[in-house]
Amino acid sequence: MEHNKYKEMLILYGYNELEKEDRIEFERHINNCPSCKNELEELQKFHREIKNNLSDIVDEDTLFESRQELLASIRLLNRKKFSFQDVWEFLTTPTKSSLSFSYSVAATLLIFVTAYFLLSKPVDVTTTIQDKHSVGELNVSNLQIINKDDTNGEVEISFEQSVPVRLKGNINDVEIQKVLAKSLLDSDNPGIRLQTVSAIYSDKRASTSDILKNALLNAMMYDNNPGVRKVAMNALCLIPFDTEVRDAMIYVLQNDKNAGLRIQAINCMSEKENLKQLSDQNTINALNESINRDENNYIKIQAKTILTKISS
Amino acid sequence: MEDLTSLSDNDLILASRNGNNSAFTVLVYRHDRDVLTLISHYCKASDDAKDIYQEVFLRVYRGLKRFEFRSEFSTWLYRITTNVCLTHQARFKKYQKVSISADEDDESPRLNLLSAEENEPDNLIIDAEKKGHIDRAIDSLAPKQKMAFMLKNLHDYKIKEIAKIMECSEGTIKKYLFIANEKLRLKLKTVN
Repeated sequence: MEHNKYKEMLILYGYNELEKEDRIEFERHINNCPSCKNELEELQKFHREIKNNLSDIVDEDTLFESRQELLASIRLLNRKKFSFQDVWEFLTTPTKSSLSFSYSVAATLLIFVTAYFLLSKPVDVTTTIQDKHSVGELNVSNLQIINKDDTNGEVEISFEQSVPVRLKGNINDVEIQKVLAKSLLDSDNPGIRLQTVSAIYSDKRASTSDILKNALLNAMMYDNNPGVRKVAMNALCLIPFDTEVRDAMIYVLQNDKNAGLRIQAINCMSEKENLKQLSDQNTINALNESINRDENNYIKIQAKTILTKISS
Repeated sequence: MEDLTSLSDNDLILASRNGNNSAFTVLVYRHDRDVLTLISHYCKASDDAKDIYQEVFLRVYRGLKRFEFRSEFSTWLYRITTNVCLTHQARFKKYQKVSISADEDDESPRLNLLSAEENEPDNLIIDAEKKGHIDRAIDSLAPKQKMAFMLKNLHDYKIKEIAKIMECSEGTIKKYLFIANEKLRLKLKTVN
């Protein structure tokens, strides 16, 4: 009976999970019990073998593909989430300059007026139709006939209406940059996304707010259009090469299927003034991975060159 | 600017909450290899493993805002992984009309072949064939026994932490570990 008690303690001792008193008692026992001592050695050997066998099961390709799919899914989530947050910020965040604040107030009023029309006017068909000038300035879409009474000619319809907004300000204005960032992230039309980035970076006076920088980082890593990813990268190459930009470049280097973009990323990283940001272990690992895994020889050579420069 | 890889899990979570996607990527890359190792023991097909990986990390991403730092991030991550893996296993077993209870899946058809001899000592299992035997033996465990065994033997979690991850008592985890060890040692004794 006593012996069985120690048998039960064996596994917990093997896992180093016994309380101090029990451990001392168990150790005293195995010093006098060859059977338990032998079984303990076998158990420890068994655990070592199990651990060696379990550790190397991950398939690198599966891991790589899983990461890519995950980041693509998050990109989709972000585009939806960012849109909501951005509108909320646009409505609620006051800015320092009075001009910007005026734009915020104007935009807020405009949205309330639009919401008022959307919520109240569809019922009052007569007013909407009679007020031709107001309707003429709106875009009407998704029109549906809800009810039509042939006896008296009444008709009930529903539709969505939106109004174009014109905003004028400096390219460095935060509100302007918010709208541009929103367009870059939310527009379904890649032409508009391209135009957005190009418009900003054709002007050398443009500076980058965090919101626009995040939008550019998102676009460079996750936009499904390679052209948009490319112009976003061009833009990011012009701003200070900090760790966020560096990490995004590494992401492109490791994940983008387009060799041209990977080449552009590694070229950007290899710029003399950017090298000082590349000495951390994560970046070195990424460069080594490119040397080993990338199918493009130019990238392999550039990665080796960067590593040589860093180490010298 | 701060090097993200030097940040703790908690700092990366805070940065992720503020919209820094690179921080979340670093957080994922820090843990996903171990998570995928665990997942790979629950589904051998890489497509299934990828699906589970997606589900785990999307749940993490969506849940970051609710994470209250009362436990380690890794404990929370493994709790999610455990739930997703066990749910997947349950679905899979149901589809195959095989019970997942600890008592009923004691004898895997594949492993009957390995259980003929019982009195030989444990052997060093070093070649691929033996690795295959170990995999099959582990697969034969009931899902919760297997999870407890994996978290202990692969990830070196303490029993107390495993209990938190699997949301059950320490006594239950000890029971799972005892049974898993006994079964595996018995089955693998015959493998030379």
